[in-house]
Amino acid sequence: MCPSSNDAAHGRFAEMIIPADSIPGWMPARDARMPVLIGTAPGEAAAAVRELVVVVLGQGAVGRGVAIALARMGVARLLLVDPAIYKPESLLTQPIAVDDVGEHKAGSTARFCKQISPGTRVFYRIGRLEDLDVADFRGVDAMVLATDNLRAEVAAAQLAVHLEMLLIHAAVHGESLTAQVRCFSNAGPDSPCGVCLYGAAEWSLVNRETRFSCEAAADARPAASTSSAPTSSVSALCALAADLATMQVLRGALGLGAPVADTMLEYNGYTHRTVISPLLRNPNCPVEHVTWARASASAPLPSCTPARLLRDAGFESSRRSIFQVEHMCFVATAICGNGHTQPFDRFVPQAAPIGRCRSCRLELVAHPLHAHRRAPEEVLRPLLDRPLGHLCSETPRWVVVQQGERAALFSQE
Amino acid sequence: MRSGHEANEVRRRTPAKGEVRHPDGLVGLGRQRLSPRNRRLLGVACASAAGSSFWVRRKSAEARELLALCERAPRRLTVHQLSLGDELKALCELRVPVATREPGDGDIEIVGGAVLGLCYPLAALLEAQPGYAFITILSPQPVWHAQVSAPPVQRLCLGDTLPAGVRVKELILMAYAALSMQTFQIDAADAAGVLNVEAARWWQHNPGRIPLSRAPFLADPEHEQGARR
Repeated sequence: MCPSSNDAAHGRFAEMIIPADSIPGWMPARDARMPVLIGTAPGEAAAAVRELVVVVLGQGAVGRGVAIALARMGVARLLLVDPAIYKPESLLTQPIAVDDVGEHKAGSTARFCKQISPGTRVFYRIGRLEDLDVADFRGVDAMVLATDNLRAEVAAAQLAVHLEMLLIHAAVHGESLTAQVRCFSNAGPDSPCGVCLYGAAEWSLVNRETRFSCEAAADARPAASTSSAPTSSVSALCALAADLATMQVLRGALGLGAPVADTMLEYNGYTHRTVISPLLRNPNCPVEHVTWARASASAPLPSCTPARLLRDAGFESSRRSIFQVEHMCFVATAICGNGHTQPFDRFVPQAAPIGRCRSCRLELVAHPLHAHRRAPEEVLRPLLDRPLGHLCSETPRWVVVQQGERAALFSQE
Repeated sequence: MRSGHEANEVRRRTPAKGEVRHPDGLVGLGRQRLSPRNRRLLGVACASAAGSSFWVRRKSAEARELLALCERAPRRLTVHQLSLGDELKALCELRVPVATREPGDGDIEIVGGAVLGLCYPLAALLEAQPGYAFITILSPQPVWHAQVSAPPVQRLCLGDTLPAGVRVKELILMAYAALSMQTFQIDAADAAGVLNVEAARWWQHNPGRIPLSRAPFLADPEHEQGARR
């Protein structure tokens, strides 16, 4: 185990470190086998790859293959996310050894990637994509999604749209021997996302896969359990999907051949043919197709007022503005068990205790009608000139200000 | 818990003598004309509706349908406050028999209505939500119902999971059916819906008092007495 593996299990990315004396002296240079690709200058491809930062979601049959291939190319940074462990059945489809069974997928894959590419910084997290923070994606060039979990797929689509990030979704359909790689450029409001392609069958599956426990009713952000079926496929098909996805990362990064943006690449084992189709935006897609343009605040975030952030974003004050401060909730009014209400006016982490009633000392909770995941300007109006440091119970790391289809993301460096 | 289909069967039953129902039932809610009061309520809410144009369109349509439901059942449902700032939030008064019981008290008291807080977030379009995600009962307190959590925030659980894109009008109809105990869950061993185990046990021992009303949502509450057990 690496020194920071505790972080990986507790919702944060941990860096995989291997002792320097365990790296063999004969390790080759990272680009020793990188060809001079047609149309590129010598060293150009290797240099571009050395700058790449890629998130791989899911380290199963497809995602582990992608992560290993990217490590062999010597990318700059890999961020690996998976909540699961390798099961004995994983030996049948996933590129693992017997010793990996029982290991966390993210940690095991991170260790292997680090061993074969010591120059790559490898981070891993044992958890769900839905719990990742926007700050985790700073500087990321592409996100590879390799999970069958539709809930994660929806969350990844929304995040990639907001952050204008290239999303490459690799999947297999075992029964028809089909490997599929979809590339979403997320280059603006008219670009399609994965959810744009959903029909009734996908929505039905989203609903069937998700279950909640009533015991979590007290939590403002209840955790859902998902139950997607394990991948049934032959390992060659999974490996093919992984390699096609890796090729799309490379083609996208170096601009090789026809653009990969907003295309679907499908290989079918029965026809033995590859088909490329365009992907189109669905105007009725429920994902918010709003890009969070990165913006600079004119002062450190805790000193900024909501009014100042509006100005820094170039927005006029408007009843249609909304403010999102990380995953905090703006509680305008709190209520206690005796029904006493009192003004609260603070951003607090969801489900966190918020204090005691002034009258009866019972515990206060957010009043459901006066708590806002994204606070409308109308609600914040009396507080627009108060610094965020005073309005938030924790130092804010990022804030999004949105007006209609325009939004600005301010993040603390 | 009864399925939505079974709940619809309950709603479709033959009207009792004296019941007054809108001739169109729930058909064509989108074409229902709104009263000047409800038009004003919707207009003010829409003027400050925030978010992407898709979300604004969708929540405005949901809000209009909620108000149309009020028009179809004017004595059953009233929306007092409506906001589309980010989430759709509404303060609704629902005329439905609701059981309350102070801790340690022997018998229950039935009151004639509940004030509901309805919150409908953008996430409801993107993923399935837990059954208690949408509706809280602001009054009366404390409600004595297996599917209602203890104060201060009395969440009403409408099932273990509600599908992505569930409609606001469905939430209101499900809340009516749950509170009047036409559809409800009293199996304390089944985690799908029970938020108050003590109340679930109490109702298990008093099944003869269920439902609190047999009147359908669209029936006039004035004529409801005859439909009660």
